[in-house]
Amino acid sequence: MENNPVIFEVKNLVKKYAKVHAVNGASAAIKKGEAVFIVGPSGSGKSTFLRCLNKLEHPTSGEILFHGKKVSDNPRAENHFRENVGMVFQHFNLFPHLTIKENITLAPIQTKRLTKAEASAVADELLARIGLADKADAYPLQLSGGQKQRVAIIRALAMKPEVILFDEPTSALDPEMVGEVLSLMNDLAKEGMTMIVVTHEIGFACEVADRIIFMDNGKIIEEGSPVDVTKNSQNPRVRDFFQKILNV
Amino acid sequence: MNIKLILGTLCITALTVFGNVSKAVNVEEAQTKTLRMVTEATFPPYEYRENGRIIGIDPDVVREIARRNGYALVIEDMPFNSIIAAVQSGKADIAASGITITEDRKKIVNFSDPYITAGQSIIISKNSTIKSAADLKGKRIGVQSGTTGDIYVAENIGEPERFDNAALVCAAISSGRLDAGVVDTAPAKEFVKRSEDIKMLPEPLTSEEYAFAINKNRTDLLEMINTTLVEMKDEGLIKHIVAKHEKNVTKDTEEIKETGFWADFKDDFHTNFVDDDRYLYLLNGFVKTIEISAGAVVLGIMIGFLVAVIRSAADQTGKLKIANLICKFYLTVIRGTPVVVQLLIIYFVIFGSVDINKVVIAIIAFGLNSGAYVAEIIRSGIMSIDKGQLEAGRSLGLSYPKTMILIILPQAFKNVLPALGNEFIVLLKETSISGYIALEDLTKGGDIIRGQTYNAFVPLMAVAIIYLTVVIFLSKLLTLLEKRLKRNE
Ligand SMILES: Nc1ncnc2c1ncn2[C@@H]1O[C@H](COP(=O)(O)OP(=O)(O)O)[C@@H](O)[C@H]1O
Ligand SMILES: [Mg+2]
Repeated sequence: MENNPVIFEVKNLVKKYAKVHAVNGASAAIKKGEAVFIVGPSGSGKSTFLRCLNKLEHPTSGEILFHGKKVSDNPRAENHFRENVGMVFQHFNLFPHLTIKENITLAPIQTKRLTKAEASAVADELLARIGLADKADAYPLQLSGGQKQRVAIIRALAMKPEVILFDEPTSALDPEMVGEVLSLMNDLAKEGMTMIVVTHEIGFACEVADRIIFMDNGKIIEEGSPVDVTKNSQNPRVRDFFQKILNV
Repeated sequence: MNIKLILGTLCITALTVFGNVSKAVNVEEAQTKTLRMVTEATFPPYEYRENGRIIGIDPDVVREIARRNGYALVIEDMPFNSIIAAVQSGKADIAASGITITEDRKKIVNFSDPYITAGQSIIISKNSTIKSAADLKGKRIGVQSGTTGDIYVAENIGEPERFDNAALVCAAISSGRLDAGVVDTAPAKEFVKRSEDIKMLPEPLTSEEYAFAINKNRTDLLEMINTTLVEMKDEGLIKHIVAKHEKNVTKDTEEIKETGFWADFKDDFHTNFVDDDRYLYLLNGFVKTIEISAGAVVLGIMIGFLVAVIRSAADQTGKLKIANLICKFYLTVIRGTPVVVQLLIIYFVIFGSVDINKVVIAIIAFGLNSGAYVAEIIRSGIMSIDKGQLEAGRSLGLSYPKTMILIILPQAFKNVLPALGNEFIVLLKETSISGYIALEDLTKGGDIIRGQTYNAFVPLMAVAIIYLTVVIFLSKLLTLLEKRLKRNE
């Protein structure tokens, strides 16, 4: 891992909305195969940071390098770049008017990453993997929350991206469904998928993360191994945060 | 797909289509000289319909003038208050509709020498207490909008109630909605003969002269018409034509009538639909109404989608600023003005000097109008779709247009289908104003029958029932479509 190439390099990222600095000077580097977890209080800029990475938001200032190069703002270049950066959302965002299988094959076919036949085979394989082969022709409304989120994850996977961004993937789930989603994410991490995950599941983060980044007020104020960040931080804000969470 | 590209293609297609249409018409004109006459054909014996054809004193006189000078005659039927404008704007060469010469009209068109002396007479109900013009003050007086009767009453007696044609004035007197009507003497005589409920005061209200109205720039036509009129008067031909039509109009008024509700109804039905194949007015009108509505729906959807997508894209991406501004302007203008006014502007001003099929003009007018409402409906549909859908599409590498077309629009369309269906039903009913530009749609078909039979109830009911049937059928169709789309979920 140490010697793996850097996929994302973020330099002094700032994202300002009308009144707030959502991200206020954050720098980080993410290496291939890493599972990096971003934690911190609500409103600290985690989602904004993540959404800047795949250019859903355009930074106010600062730089984001992908494989050492800046991604052009030209729409075509941006679209092509996003094919390589999957994203999983808190509210799944499956397409309700398409079947589960169509949800998975739409983007690979439309972006010409896969032919129709290839996309279909990939979808079948991924659905079998998560045990939902029988739901291929169902519509999202017929699935449980946990099933929806797992489909959303394999929808991202079908594009064969280099990295997947997760924005609180389990926050909208009923407690009994959190496990199935985390277990799929754990599998992906073990297979060496590069993942950047915003989550409040600290236990899971400690188990799976190669590195935890702690954000507060738009800034990265602590960064390191799970143990270093959650147990040994010198920063009172960080210590306070984990103390509250772990004591609950 | 690129939005600018779609916009461009649409414009070019529109230009070529309309360009070709107007070219085709021009070629035809070059081969045979045509004289385009406008009239309101509900004014017997001057102009009226028989077996669907427009006939009468004016058509006969003008046809003879055309024949003697080597022109083919084309006659168009439109509301009286539009015909002077049609001549002024060059839509027609000559208006011949029992037009009285007045100073105001002289300012905008040229008049031929008068060919007939006529006047305005007062029509009242059989048991009215009105004895002379002096009794008219303060009474409810009906006139045909834009006629000299209208002008005279407004200036000398009081504000009249204005109707589209003289037949309606008489119908309103019969039914007691008016105390009196002021109508040109010759047609007044005919109406009185045909109805048992009304009579005419012997003393005419005014005396005046009828002449043809001709476009100010066509002095060649003016000279030609005046010369031929002198010839025809000398030959006694005009007198002959007048006598022929006065006789023609009176001939079939004496009929033996049964009584009783059912017999009356059968009789009315026969008169309004079977005699002279009058049902054809409704049938042909219905076909026109459907043609106009269908064309306008297609155009409206195309414009609506385009405008809605441009507006939403501008809101979501901050691009397309100028296109967005144009769209906003379009929406404001269309939604801020009545559709009748838009139709008239498109007919008289925008296509004023171009000869295009009027159905096409109506489709453009109603399509442009509907497009604005469709655009806002679809935009509300787009806004009703969760932002996460757009983000999910974009995060998978789909372009903005692809996300729009494949993900947002299908869902938006499904959400707004009831509102869209409603808009199309409104549109269908709105096309009933097509008569303003002399299009014989369903409503106008009913008007024509009423103008001939002096029966307001039966043709109106028939027209209403036809609209209602179509609307019920459309609603059913929409419900089915909605159910089909909902099956997915
Ligand atoms: N689209 C937006 N417009 C304005 N303010 C925003 C927007 N998105 C986020 N913010 C603000 O930016 C700050 C950081 O938000 P976010 O990145 O969502 O935090 P987190 O994901 O850590 O909870 C918050 O104060 C939030 O209100
Ligand atoms: Mg967040």
